[in-house]
Amino acid sequence: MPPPLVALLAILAIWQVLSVGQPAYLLPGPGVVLTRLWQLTAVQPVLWGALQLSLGALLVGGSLAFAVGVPLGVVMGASGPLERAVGPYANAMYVAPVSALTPLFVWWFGIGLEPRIATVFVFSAPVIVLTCYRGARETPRTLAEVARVFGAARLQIFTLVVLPHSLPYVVTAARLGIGRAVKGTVLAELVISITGLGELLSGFAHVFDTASLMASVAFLMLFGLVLQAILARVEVAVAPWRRQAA
Amino acid sequence: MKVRLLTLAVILAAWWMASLGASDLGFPGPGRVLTALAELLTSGRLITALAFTLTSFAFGAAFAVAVGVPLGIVMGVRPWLGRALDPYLTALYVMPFASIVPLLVLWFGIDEMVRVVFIFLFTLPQVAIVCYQGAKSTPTTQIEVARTFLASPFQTFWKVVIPHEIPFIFTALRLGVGLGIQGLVVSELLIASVRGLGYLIRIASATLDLASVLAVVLFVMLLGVGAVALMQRIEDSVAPWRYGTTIDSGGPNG
Amino acid sequence: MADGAPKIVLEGVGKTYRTRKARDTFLGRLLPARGAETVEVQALDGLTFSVPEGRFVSIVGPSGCGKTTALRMMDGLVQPDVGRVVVSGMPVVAPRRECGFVFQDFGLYPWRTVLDNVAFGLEIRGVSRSARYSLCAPIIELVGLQGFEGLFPHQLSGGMQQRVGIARMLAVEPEVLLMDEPFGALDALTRRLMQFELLRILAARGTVTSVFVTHDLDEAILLADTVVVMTGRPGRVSDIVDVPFSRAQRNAAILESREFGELRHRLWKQLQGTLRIAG
Repeated sequence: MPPPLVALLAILAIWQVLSVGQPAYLLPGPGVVLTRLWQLTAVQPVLWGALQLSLGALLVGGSLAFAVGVPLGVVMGASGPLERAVGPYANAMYVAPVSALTPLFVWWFGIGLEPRIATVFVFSAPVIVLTCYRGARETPRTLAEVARVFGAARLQIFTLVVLPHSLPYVVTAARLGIGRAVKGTVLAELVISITGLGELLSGFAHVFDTASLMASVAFLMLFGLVLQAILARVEVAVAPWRRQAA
Repeated sequence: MKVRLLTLAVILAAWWMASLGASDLGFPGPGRVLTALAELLTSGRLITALAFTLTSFAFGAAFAVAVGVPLGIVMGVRPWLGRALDPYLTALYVMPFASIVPLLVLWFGIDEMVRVVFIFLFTLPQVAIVCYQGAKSTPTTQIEVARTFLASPFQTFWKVVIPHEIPFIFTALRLGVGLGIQGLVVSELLIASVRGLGYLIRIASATLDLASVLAVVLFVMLLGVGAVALMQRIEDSVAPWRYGTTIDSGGPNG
Repeated sequence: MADGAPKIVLEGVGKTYRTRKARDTFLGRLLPARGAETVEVQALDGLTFSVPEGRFVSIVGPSGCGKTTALRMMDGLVQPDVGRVVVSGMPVVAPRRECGFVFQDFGLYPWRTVLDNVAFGLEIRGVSRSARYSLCAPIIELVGLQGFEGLFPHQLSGGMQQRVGIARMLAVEPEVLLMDEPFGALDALTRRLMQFELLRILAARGTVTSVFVTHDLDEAILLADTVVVMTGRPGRVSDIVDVPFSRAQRNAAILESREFGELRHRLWKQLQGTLRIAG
């Protein structure tokens, strides 16, 4: 039996034991939660609906972050002066509690799609920039020198060596970026308490519907996992010469 | 160095210009934000809030490290366990953490405990995953050398896996610190706490004191950067052997 | 040359490796790896030879001929699928106390100084620190690294790193020395220097059963009493040639001698046939 399955059964067993004797609003058993998960996804597409509503902000914000972050990161990595200039600030953005900016975005853009897009952007851009930056920067010098020896100009070295080398990193950046984007979306919605997943979760919490809350969290975990797995496969397929994803 | 200062100047200038053409609520320029920061510092409110936030952070992060590092290492040396738990760590890692807050509040209330738990869950996956990958990546030759000298599994663990692991532990600590600080602010934003940095941000937000909001964000950012830089320093002094990215780190002539 | 009883014996040793073929289309790689074809590589087939006690034997052959696999079997790092490997009269199932091993990529611990690396084997055996250090001092001097005890591997050149590897092996006073292309990662000049250094070190040590794997013909002849020629895929013994020079005769001049040239020519002809090179 595959190890993760064994671990899953162990987790479910421990959960079951812990939930015995606990009131339903505190710790419902795995059976209850899984049933609820089924109800919220297959019977009535409540979770899917909420996800769809959130998807708009997710896609726009994420794509924006990707479209801006990838070129920025790659150019930063390839250009020495730019990296020296901007590098430390990019690193700082990674540590910044960007979640605190969400209320600000509401003030500036009003309630609607914009603050959520902005939150998603700010959440996912740094990791995308940094990953692409790493990819471009770690281009082995030998590969670039081979191109120079064949008379390639700087621009050609960039397009023929740095870009292909960075491609797997771009895919990694997409994978990490999507993860961050989803987090940003949920956070924005919880802070602003508008439609979508955030509203759903707040609603469940208000009426102490713990089972639905846990089911939703499980749903999001699964969603994130599946997304991750797909992108990890794409990473491997894009660059079979790399032994391990970043 | 000069280039960095130049960039900083450019950023500040751009910020200032952007703040000029803003709506009536205003996009605070660098001047206003710095003034707000100074005020928060001198009035002591920032420090009090920081102390409050930091204690929860310290506990949560310490637990995450105390659990995550050994967990990751054990996963690395027992591949079966590693394969079993990896998907769940990843699931925890990719989960949007904000979604778990309502659940945690339900279980732990809104005082100290919930924030400690939040930080713990927030930081644990990253720490464990890094340590796991570190232990997994112990070069085969190094392990084989120990085997040819008939080292016991315990000896191999202590004398080969652990030293190899140390740079990864430091990376995990650095990440833990960086993530932990972020997680803390998130948690305080979402949980109706009445003290701490998150509380400061919410108050400032509510009173439309955007300059203060940005000031606190800036402060936390600087704190995070400083903490990470400090960890880097510690790492460099504890582990002076340069760890190359290749398996065979040749010397100056190799 | 006086023959001791065979210290190491390989009888009919066979070994086959199985790997999964990587798929060659983007879409193919998206699918799980489980269903891909496996490829079988027979590394060794019916390999048989013995190493008498006290002899220095070099195993030479083209890359992929299985010589490293055979060496690793002698110290129990790999088990044969067929046949057996016997050292000191007992079949090999795990690394042996009496066998020392030197790896091609040095295998030094980057977090240990030269001294601590050399003392590693003694440390494993529980020798106290002061005893370890005093035992290692003469060996470090023997390999020519005195003064470098406090440096870390990344501060040393390739040749120096391998000296550390050799010193580490010698520190535990093994009865059998197993060396897997120890100079393969070094440049040609350093390699030549290290070959003479090894001769000097072993002369100071006295006769010890040694097996030395290499792809370099000159190296094989220069260092060994007997050369075992292996052909590849699958690996078998193609020839066993005794080297008529005494230990004392092995110096820089002998490389130019006629006998050396004839030996080299003979071994080369062997290998040339298997490599299928024209001429």
